[in-house]
Amino acid sequence: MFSGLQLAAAFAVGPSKLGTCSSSGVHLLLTRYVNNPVSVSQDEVRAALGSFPALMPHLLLIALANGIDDPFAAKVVEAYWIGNRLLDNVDSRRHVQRLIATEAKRHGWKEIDLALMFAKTISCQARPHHSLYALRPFWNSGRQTSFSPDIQDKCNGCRVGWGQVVNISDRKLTVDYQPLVFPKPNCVEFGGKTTIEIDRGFIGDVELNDWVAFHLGLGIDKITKQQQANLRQYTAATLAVINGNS
Amino acid sequence: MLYYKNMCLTIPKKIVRITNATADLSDGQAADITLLPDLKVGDWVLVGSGVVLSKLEEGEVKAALNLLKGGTDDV
Repeated sequence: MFSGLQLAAAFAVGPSKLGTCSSSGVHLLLTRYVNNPVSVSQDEVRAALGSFPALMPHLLLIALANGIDDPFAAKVVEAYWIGNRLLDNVDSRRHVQRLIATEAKRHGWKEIDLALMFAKTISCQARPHHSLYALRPFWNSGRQTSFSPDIQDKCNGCRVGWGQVVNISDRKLTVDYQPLVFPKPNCVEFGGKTTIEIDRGFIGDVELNDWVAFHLGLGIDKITKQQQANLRQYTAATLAVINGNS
Repeated sequence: MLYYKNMCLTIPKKIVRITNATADLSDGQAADITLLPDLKVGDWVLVGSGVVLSKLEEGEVKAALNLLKGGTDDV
């Protein structure tokens, strides 16, 4: 079972490897830490994760709202990437204002960037779940009404996916899952069941019918039935917000 | 799937200059504005794959500024 810091590192490997959402290629360090936590100092890993401009503000916001000191506490990390009840305790305006007041200077963040990051989350009373930000272009459509297939694919891969294992090989897993579909402009929905092959990534022992989470095509971890339900629930809540604001 | 560098969609960027179909952004990068040709300097936008995908609504920017002032109301 991963610690919070390991889980945060595991989810960050994909974007780091691809050069997205992070200015530095720290995936090797993160991968080493996930696989063998004693081989890398936690300070190094925390610093590496700090280079992700959206990750830390969100973890700090969730931790602050729940009176948790460590933003890498397992429940906090789980809340952001998978979803759990901690998200329901984020009373956005008050907590975002506290976040800006206490953390912006300490981390060298621009206050306006933090405010813009969370302003719409507050006004829509949305939960600060990762799916909201993976799908943000569809939530903030402006005059744009339709996106090209590669943008749709990117958003689909960026949100945390989940599925049930139907085939196992050394390096790959095939899972049943529901992709997101974009049936009309400004609309995002769960599609019908299909299969997808993912890199086994950090998923060790696994059996057929296990539930797994993946990010950018990389297997992250086995998840419980409750976590699968939470991931679906908070992703569905994101879709409701996005479609309601289209 | 196609992925591009530095495309975190969560961070809005401000347009500081426009030349033809290219916008120079507050973070020093440039992006294509073909999808939204009516953009102007000072607009806040979301960028993915080197393309400006959407413009932040005026109300959202005002709400952010209100947050910074410690306001309690959404715009």
